[in-house]
Amino acid sequence: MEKMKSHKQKADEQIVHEYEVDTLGAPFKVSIIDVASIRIDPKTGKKSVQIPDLVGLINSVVRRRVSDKRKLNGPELKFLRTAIRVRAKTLAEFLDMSPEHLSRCEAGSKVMTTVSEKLLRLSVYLATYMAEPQDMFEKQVDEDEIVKKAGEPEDILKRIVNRFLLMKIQSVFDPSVELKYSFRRVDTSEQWSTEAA
Amino acid sequence: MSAKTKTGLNLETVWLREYARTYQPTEAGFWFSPELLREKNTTLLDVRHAFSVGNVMLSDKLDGPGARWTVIGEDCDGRLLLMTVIVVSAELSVSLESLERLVEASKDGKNEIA
Repeated sequence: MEKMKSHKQKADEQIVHEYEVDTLGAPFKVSIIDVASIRIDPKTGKKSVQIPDLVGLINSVVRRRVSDKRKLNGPELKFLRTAIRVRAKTLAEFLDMSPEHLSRCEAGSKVMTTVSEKLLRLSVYLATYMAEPQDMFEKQVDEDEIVKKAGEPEDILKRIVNRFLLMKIQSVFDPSVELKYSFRRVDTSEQWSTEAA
Repeated sequence: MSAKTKTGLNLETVWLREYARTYQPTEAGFWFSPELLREKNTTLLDVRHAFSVGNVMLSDKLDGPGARWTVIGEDCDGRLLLMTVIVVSAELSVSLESLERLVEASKDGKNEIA
């Protein structure tokens, strides 16, 4: 799914209007709008793609998915954990469950309880704002660091309450409705923002 | 042809790990071949993980801007990846040039050289 824009970024590069990042590793569709550059090697004919701020994109995808009410399935649980680079054992201890149970949840043979899923969503969301996300699960969190990156304390509190604590996880949904998130760069803050898919 | 080759690459390793772990918005660009990742059954998440825990083993300064680094690191499942990347640190630009899986699990559960 690549719709070329008419303008060029550099001589041999073209900005793609919508690029589906199917190699990200997410078990749902992720596309980026007006930022991916493509170039074709004139010798080999191979296509290369450039994504700005890959780590920022990964964090934004994580935040978007955990804010979505649809119940997390096994591959999505694994995606979230690997995206924030936390070991299964560490996360299992944090969620007060055995590593075997978490492994089965990630494999899809067990279902995580709603309470555990809410805690996972909240902690993963906050971890994306930390330099060392595993600290979120292993050590005492530096409150100043989170406040610095995530905004004012009141804003964080509102987000936590509205997005996670009051969230009604949607366990029943139409599986034919595909999850798809689109992202574009926000010029002013150089961050990724989502838009309706 | 490289102008200079060096090994023992702590500075490069630190640079690459910071590049892969920064959580602040950045314009750092990452070039990759989607076909290469599909061919090696690897994802951008795997590559990012390998950068964040891996080591730069070799550096070849290019005649033009940047250097070619050889990197070994683990993917999200702990499997080793051997990668070469072209890095232009002044532009925060990293291009994935090649990628190989060093070890794959055999059917009897033991690791073997791929």
